[in-house]
Amino acid sequence: MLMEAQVQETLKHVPTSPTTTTTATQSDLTTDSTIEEKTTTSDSKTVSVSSGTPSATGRPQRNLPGTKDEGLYQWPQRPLESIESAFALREYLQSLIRQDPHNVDLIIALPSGQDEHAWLYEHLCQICLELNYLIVHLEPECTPEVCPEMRAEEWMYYCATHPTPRECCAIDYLTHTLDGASALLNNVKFFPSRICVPEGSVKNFQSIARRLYRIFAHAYFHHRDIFDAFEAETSLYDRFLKLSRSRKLITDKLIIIPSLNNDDNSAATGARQIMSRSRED
Amino acid sequence: MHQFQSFAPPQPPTAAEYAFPSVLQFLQSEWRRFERDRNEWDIEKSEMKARIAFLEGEKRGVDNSKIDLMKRVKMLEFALRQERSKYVEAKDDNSVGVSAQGQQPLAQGVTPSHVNTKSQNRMSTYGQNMTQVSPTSATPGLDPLGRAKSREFLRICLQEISYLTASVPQSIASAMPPAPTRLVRNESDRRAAAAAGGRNRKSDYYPATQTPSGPPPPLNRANSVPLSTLQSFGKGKPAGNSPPAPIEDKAEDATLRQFVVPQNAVQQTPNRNTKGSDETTRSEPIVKPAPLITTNMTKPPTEKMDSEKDSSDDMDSVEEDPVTVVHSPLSGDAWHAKLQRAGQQLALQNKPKKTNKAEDDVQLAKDVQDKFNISPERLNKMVKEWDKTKIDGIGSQRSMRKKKAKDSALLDELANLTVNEAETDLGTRTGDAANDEPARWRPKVTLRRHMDTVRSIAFHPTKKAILSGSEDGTMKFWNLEAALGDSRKLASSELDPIHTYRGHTKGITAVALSADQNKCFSASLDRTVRAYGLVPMNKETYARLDPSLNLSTFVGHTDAVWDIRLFPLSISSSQLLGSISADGTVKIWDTETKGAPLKSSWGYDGSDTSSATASTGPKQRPVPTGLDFCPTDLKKMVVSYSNSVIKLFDIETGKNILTFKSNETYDGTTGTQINKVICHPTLPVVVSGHEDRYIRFFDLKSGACSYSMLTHLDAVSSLDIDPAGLVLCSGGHDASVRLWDIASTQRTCLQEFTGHRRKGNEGVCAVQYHPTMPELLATGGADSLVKIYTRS
Repeated sequence: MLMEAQVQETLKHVPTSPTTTTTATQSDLTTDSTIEEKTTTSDSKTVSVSSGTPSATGRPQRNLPGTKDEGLYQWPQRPLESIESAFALREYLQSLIRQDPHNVDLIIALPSGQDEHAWLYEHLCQICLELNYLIVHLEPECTPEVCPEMRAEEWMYYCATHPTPRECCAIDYLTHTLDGASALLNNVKFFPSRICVPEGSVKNFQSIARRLYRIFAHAYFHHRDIFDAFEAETSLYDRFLKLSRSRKLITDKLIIIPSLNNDDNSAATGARQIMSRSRED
Repeated sequence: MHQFQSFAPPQPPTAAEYAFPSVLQFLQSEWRRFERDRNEWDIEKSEMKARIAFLEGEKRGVDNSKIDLMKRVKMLEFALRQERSKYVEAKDDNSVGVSAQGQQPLAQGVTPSHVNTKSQNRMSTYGQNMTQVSPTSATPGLDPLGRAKSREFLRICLQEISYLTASVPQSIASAMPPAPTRLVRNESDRRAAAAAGGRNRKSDYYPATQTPSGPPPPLNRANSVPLSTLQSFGKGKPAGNSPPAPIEDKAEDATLRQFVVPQNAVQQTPNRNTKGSDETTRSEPIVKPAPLITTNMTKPPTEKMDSEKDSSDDMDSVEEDPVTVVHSPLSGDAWHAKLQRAGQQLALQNKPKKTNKAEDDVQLAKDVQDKFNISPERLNKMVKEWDKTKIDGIGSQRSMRKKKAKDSALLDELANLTVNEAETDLGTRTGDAANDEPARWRPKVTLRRHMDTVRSIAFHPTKKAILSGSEDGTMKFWNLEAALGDSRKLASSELDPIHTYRGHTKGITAVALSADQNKCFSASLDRTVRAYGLVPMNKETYARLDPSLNLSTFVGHTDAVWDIRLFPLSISSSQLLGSISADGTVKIWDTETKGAPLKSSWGYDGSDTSSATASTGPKQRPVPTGLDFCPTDLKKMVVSYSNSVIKLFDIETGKNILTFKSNETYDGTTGTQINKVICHPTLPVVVSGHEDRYIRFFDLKSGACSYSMLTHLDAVSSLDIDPAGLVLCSGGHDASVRLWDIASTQRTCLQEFTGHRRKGNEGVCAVQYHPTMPELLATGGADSLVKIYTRS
């Protein structure tokens, strides 16, 4: 946990030049970043405990300008039924993730009385959102020079966002795919409502998931340290995989990333092991 | 016959014997009267036509000169901006550790008139001012074709009139007093007194018209002069007067003008062109007094039945005509008063008339007319095609005959009518300047590609393009050219951004766009500000990634950056960017500097006591929540704090110059903090939007709150002022967008619409006017959408 936080922090501070993480910066940032990580997690826990208190609900649930890091999103987790907005599901999902991103099973579990597809839709939106940050981390390293082709292990992919599939370099493929998926998910023709998803649009989920999977795959096979660090912070791949499997979005034969953690402890421990191994190499 | 007898008791002798000859004579006289009237009307009609043509030509000239002046103003503004940038550049060069003295000239140079970076729309207000200030810059010879045409028409009309009134000796005409109306027409504010004098004299004309040998009316001059006048147009310069006449005109007092009238009357025309929009509003009421005048005018013939054949009578009536072109430069109230005065005068005049023996015949005729109810109908038929004002005049004439007591009341009514007309006309006129004011904003394009709350938007200063920053960590650049231009495109309503900027590891809080540098900036909760190159407008959405777009990252803040603002003035070598962060500091960056872009940084107390504050525990210090540079005073910037205080800082030194009295409702929690602070583009006014739903206006000089209003149902999240500086747009977490008329003292709400759906407790998060295209407004909201509004 601590080490992942370090790596994460270093990634944040990486300038736009394609220099990669160095051990020096890691050690420099160790102290304050890890402390912060601790405080935020502990905060969120205490808040979730005190969620029932009426005094806390009086404050508007928004980040006012000037809010400090530790004060962001510091409002109690509300039950889904009490959220009265058009974005109730999304708010609920985001609050779950903020509370503990590694509790994947809780996050992907369908809230009672909710539409399966609407929940899936919100999840895919959220995954697209968070994949933005993975690409941010990849961008300095995954340059057209380093990855001139979009590959994952022995597979090579053509970019399908163009009228005719094109051989884009990896970073272009990643951004195009992500932009394309965002565009599709935001397209009112396919997804006019957040409450229910039209029957005809459900099939889009599979194609979106299949393409998003390649982003993970490329990161895993070609930028392993970034992938691991990111995974340690967000458990995004874990969430995505479990969601896709349980909803039959991706067939098993398309899954090329070896299982990260056989034990159900947490993604973080597994990732740490893998990372330390890869560093030794 | 019997009826008639009973009707006309005042004339017992005539009533006794209604012989055939007398009836015949009466009918003949009636016929003659009608003929004369018709003649008169024809003359009047042609004269009006001439007047219309003249005014039309004049208007065209004014329009042209206005356009020309606008061009000049733009040029001057451009030059001024260049000068200022040069100046600031020079100042930047020689002052690193700047002293307060060094800044003084900048402040002085800049304060009197603001820098006009978003000039286009403000231009209109500028232009109006400018036209009044510099009449010399007008060029009267614009649109020569149209002017020549109308001049030609005018000449023909005047010739016609001169033919009809040829019997007037030229000597009398030249000896006549000046036409006050002509004088008045060109009046400026400071000539109001002289104009009033002229008007008084004009009202003297009313009694004068009754005496057969009354003072010769002004049109004769218009008759004798204009020919030469028109010639002098061709020659370019009037013979008598010196060339810079327009300016001298202004200096001359009324008495002097009386003697130079012939030339003056000529020079009004070119001179008027210089008046710009001011004049157009004024020239409008010219026709308005017509109703009053016509009542007056149609009277004389009835008074002089005995001499109806006399050509001088004809002439008299013609001579009065010029009164119809009396210009009303007064405000509506003054007009009203004047008309009332005239009406009373008329009423008084009518009284002695009744006893006049000579008028008895007329009275009789009139009564017959009324009794048989024929002539009014005929009259109406005759004048059907004529304009309404004349009908009014005739109507009033008839009723005036019947009841003298009614006179003043009717005239009052008439006066009211004219005033009202003038006012509405004025209203529409001024509406022209801000024509689109009442136009409603309507959503035109919706941009739906963001995955989370859109926190900030920024228009391209000159193009139809917009930048949007979202909590999903991306900033997107949208080309609206096609979507706004083509209405068919609206149907699909699926617009892709031409580029998605990624780089932040947390949500984006603010974006800014600098067209001069071709850069854009984003601030984020991840504590950094990033600079990117702006992609070309024709970039494809799925083009190859250009790594050179990532320019630099400003690292320095130790907590979330909440807002950034570009310095309103960009210089080739430097573009300042101000940022505020939850770490309590305000930082100024020079975005063009490589390596160490940070120029200065200061905390709540400014640069002076920054060391002292550090010891008192930074955790307790208020945190900045909003910032803006002052376009009216480029040396300063305002920063709002979480304790609801607004502070004015010196940009160079970071010195706290002034603390605004803005925390009157602060209760110690963030529930009453300021969320947004902006400066008025042209006035020294600061506007703040509060979490507790208030919007407040402050004077930049004194820091005093000049106005405070409750505006939304929930916190005010965003503010913007339209480039003209007349309308304030506010967005609130109640999901509504409201437009406020800040030019008026009431600050009424002009329009309100639901902008976005709420997510969490957030609604509308950003509102932005296009800096140069007044028909574009954009909002960003918690529903991840950006909406573009248009009005037309």
